[in-house]
Amino acid sequence: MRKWIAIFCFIVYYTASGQSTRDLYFQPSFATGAPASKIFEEINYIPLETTKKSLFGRIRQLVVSDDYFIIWDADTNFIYFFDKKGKFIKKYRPSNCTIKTIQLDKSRNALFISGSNKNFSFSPAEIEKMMEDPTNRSFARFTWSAYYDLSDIHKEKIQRLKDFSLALVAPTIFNNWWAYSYIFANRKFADNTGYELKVYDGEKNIREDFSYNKRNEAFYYKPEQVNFFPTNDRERLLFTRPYNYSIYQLTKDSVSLLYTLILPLENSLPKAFFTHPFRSKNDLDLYRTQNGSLVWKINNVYRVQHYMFFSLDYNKSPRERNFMLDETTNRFYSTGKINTDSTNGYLPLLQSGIQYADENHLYSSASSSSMFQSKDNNQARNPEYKPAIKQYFEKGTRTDNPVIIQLKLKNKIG
Amino acid sequence: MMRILIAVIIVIIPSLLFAQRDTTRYNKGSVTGIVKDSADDYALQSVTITLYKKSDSTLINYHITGEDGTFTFSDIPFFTPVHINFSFTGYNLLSKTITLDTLTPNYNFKTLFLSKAQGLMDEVVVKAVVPITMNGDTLEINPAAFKLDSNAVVEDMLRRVPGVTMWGDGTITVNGRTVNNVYVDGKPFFGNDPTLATQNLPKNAIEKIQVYRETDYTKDNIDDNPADSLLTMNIRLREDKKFGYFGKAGAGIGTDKRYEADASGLAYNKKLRGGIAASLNNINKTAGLQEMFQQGTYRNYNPSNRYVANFGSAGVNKVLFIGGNMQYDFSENNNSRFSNQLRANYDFRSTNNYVTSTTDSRNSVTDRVLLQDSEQETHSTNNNHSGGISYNKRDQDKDFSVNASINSSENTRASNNFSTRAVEGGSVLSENSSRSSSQSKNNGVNFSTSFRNKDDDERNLKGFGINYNLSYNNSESQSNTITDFISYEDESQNKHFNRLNNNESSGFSNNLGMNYNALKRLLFGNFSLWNINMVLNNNVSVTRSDANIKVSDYDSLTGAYLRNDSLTHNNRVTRIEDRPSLRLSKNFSKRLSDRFNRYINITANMQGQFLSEKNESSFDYRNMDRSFKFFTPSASVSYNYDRFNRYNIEMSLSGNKASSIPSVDQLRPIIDTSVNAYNISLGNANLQPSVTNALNFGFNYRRQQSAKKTDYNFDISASVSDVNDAIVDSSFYDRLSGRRTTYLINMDGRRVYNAGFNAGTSFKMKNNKILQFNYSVSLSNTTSPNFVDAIYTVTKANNINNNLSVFYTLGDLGTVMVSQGVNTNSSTQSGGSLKSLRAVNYITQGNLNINPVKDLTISNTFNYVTNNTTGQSSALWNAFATYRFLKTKQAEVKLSAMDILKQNKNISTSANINNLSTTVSNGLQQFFMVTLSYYPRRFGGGRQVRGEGRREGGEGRQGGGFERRGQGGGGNFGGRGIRNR
Repeated sequence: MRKWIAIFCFIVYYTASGQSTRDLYFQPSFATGAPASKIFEEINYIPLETTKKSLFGRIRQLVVSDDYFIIWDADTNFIYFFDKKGKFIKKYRPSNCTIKTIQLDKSRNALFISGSNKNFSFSPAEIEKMMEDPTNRSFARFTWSAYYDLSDIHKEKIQRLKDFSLALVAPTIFNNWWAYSYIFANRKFADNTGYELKVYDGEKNIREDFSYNKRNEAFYYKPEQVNFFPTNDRERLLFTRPYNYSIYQLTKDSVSLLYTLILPLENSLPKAFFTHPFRSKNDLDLYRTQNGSLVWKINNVYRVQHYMFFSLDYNKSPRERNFMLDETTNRFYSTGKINTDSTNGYLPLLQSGIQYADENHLYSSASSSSMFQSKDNNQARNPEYKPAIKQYFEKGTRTDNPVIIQLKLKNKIG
Repeated sequence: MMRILIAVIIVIIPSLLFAQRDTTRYNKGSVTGIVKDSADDYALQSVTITLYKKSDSTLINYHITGEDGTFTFSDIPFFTPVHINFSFTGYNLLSKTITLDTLTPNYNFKTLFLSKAQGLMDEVVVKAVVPITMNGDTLEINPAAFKLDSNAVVEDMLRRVPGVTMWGDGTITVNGRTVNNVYVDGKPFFGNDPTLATQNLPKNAIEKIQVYRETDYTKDNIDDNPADSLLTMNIRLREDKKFGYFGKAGAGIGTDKRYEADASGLAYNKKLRGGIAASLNNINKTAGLQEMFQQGTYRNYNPSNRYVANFGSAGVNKVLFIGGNMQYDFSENNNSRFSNQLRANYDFRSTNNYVTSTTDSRNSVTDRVLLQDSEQETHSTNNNHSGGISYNKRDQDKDFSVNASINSSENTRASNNFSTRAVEGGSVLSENSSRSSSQSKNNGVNFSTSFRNKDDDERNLKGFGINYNLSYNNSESQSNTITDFISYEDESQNKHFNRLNNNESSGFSNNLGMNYNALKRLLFGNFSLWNINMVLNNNVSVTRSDANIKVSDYDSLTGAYLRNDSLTHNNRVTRIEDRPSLRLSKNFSKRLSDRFNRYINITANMQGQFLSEKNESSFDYRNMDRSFKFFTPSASVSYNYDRFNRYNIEMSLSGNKASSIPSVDQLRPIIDTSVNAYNISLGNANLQPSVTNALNFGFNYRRQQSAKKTDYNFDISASVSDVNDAIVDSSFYDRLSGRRTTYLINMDGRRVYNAGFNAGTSFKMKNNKILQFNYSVSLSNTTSPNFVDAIYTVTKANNINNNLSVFYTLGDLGTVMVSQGVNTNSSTQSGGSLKSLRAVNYITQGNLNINPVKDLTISNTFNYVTNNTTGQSSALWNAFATYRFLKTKQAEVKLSAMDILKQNKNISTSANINNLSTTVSNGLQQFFMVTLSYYPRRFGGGRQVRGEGRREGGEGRQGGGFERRGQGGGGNFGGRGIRNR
């Protein structure tokens, strides 16, 4: 233990003095907290209008365009458009499609919607089989992909993508291309090399990175994916890899390493994991249930100003999973420990994690049930609410639509 | 009156006893404040705050801070210096001492800053541990956070956990949901009864308790019904407590030559769990192995007094029981999804029973009611062995099991019966006396095996299941019956028999079932077929039963038994049956996160039944070869609505059609008038199969608001079945002898209605007191057309049972239970002058357990039954005083006073279509008994010997490990609204 502390102090010293390494020693339970007012310059709560038509479950994915909050709700399988004040504008559901992802394509001023055809269902084994040939056009009929034109949303102008079989694994828009990943190994495969990350220009593969052995790497018997995180620059994606604690950057012509987290032994995958002779996907699942404290992946990466937000994929409550790195001080914060205070009326902050980020703001949301719960719990403190939220509490109920939380970070914490 | 008085006394006594405890309330104050991180000024969540009396360090209260870091303690005594400790993993401990008085009754710390423990982390002593955390979807209860007596068991702790309700009947609910499985280290602990774990395992042996929802992996889960998921409570033992033993051994002796001796012992380690039990008594205590285990738990709370002398059972029994079982797990895997287990069990039971009884029954026939009075005396012995072995291996996608069992029994029985029959208000018609003695032997073996292939994806083509069952049994019996029937009105009907019966029979059955779950996938490939699921099922069975009946009658001329050719015969029934079916189902689910979740499932099952039965007999008239084809479809709709943090509703409606064929004994019976002189059945060779259409409905409501102190739930069930071509009686009563002769006929219009309502509510009050109410009512109505003396009559038999019970726990001080039941049986006849019958029983029960001083429990049970028809009543009052001694409370002395009022009688009433009878039988009489028991127990290794103090101390240190610190540091109290105080 003492050794770790010594190493920790040494590293803090080292990183502070030089910035010459990208390795960061990070002990999740020791990440600090702060009152909301020290981190955020501004916190706005925007209730989303609740009408019979606009009622939805939970924000599965949020996209903030110049004019709208665009929400995909998996419960109803609809896409909802609200204006920036929370007023309901319209909703859209592609017929026969179960939505899997929505993405903003700024250059086209369109929303990319992709999903699977409702009429078909596949076993994981069949998807594995299909992914051996991801651009095979005959698979495209099992999917549904289109651009929804945002210049006038009322027109519902849809441009379908034909023969787009890559939609099977929800690719990410990258420049004018698609970044996609589907990693799996099988002992029946020929002893050859696969790549974790691939970039396609239409049906043409233009880039492959991170090779792995498709027969022998037993920890890939359960299919995995590289996770991509769009940035404000369409020519730049951040990404993380399974069973790896690094954050990478993908640009038009290079892959670069931004940070590598060094986690405490109890959270780090042991070397033995990578050579463990897993027999099947079930075997791997069993290993994962038995080793709950291990971190499997880094997820939900957002970089805003000089702050890097991320979460760890391990068996802890959501409150203990989400973190923020202040790149100017190399200090780690646990977003679950950021307290509500009088500046935000003691209302929920980042319970649902970060759901979208643009140049200026972070976006999250809270269910009406938890908004009202917070209100009840903090009656004694006489919180002051902004007019919109005051009206929401007066007229709304616990079963109303969720509330969008818009947060502006301070330039300097404190 | 007596009933009400006693009920009132039972309720009032405890409240008087404990009333004075609240008088100090007004001399108490409160403390509030907020805890923050000293460096970064943010509120700390999950800080454990403990309050001790400064004088003797007794724990007054504790609190875990929520998201906002605030805390409030009330009820702090005045003029008492109090230590307040603030501890949190990774931070330096902070202590404050305050004394409240009338001038400063409320103290506000405002903001308290905890500083991070820098550097010397090894030496940080973490004194308190978070009691409840959410770890992902798992709720974790940490025993170390609950300071209890060193002899406390798991149950003592669970009763203090917010959100957990222990019901009077042993059910456990967590936030309103019933716990379906209680496991220890991921495996059932000596069967399915949670009390074996919760009332035996010491709190100190537990590392943590996890509560989580899991899919029921023993089912195919084709429709993904949320009602199929199970709430599981897993008790994880501390690493050093993964082996141990516990049990109970006791013997008692009483007045009236009564005695009892019981012993049970259970032991476990990581892989093997086994137990044995034995019992010998002459006080009608009969219990199976599992019940013996349950009754031998080391509980010190809520004794059920169930396993005591049974005054309710007929006669006086001497019982010897020896049994044992074991379970071996080939893997130590702590996951209920996986199983690789061998089980074995063996039971031996010997009973020696002596019963005398008198029965009064009333038969309603044309113009009048026939009364039958009978007296019976029976002496029987029964020796029974049974044993079995089974193996089960289950993993995520395969489930294989194989079972084999045997049983063997020997019985002897001797009885005398004398009965008379008379017209109500008139003269005696006839009398019948019979004496019989019999011996029989039964042997049986059973073998079954099953295999299921699920694969990880049910849409895979390989989803199927197969099961096979084989059983064989044979029995031999000999009996001798001497019967005298005397008719007072017609001497020609008088009969005398002295008969020997020698029967041999055997049965052999084979059953093969198969189901294929991937039919849709096979036929339609990836097409989702509008999400309709298809399952193909087939069941084939072949059964054969043989009987060899030899009857001979005593011939007084020759002085020998001569073969009776009209009754002696052989019979063989061979039955081949096939039931193919196709099951279609579809789900409609709708969900709005944080609001509701609705699930509807519609299932239709199209089933055919092909049946052929061959009867071969030495009597030609009984040789038959029949075959049938039936269509027996069924359909069901189930509905599940979950209102987030409010309530859950489950509803189901199902209907089915089933056919049954008349047996050979209904078609062409062998008529024997000697055995039962009052009832002769002639059957009917032209009977047709009957068809039953049934409809069932169920509704269940459960409140799910963990923040509330009140829990309630209710359910309603109803069913109706209508039988076409029902096989009913057409009976004739001989006016002279009162004898009933029955023909069987097919008739439409037989109908059965059943309805039930059940409601329960539980209030959690201060100081661990719980008040629970349960009310249940069940109604049943059978409408049956039949003929009596050629008069068409519709008989309606009604049963209404009402029961209200109140259960009250006074924390650790005792429990009170009072219940009142009213059971009404009635039957009405529509035809002509047939009489209607009605009987009402009132049953009052009370149960009071109190611990006036530590280790002493005084229990009273009270039972009062009155019956309006016979005017009979029976009162039974038993009292027990139990004292636990030795430092570890492992020894117990118990004084029992049974039937203090000396008014016990065994009364039972039965009603059917046109008959109502009341039987009073002998039973135990008043006695007093003293019983000594010892509870041997040991958990974990040799450290135990050094005393409890050390173990208690060990708890504090538990939180200090590195790994533990990580967990303790982040309790999520917001997740499900579980908050301590």
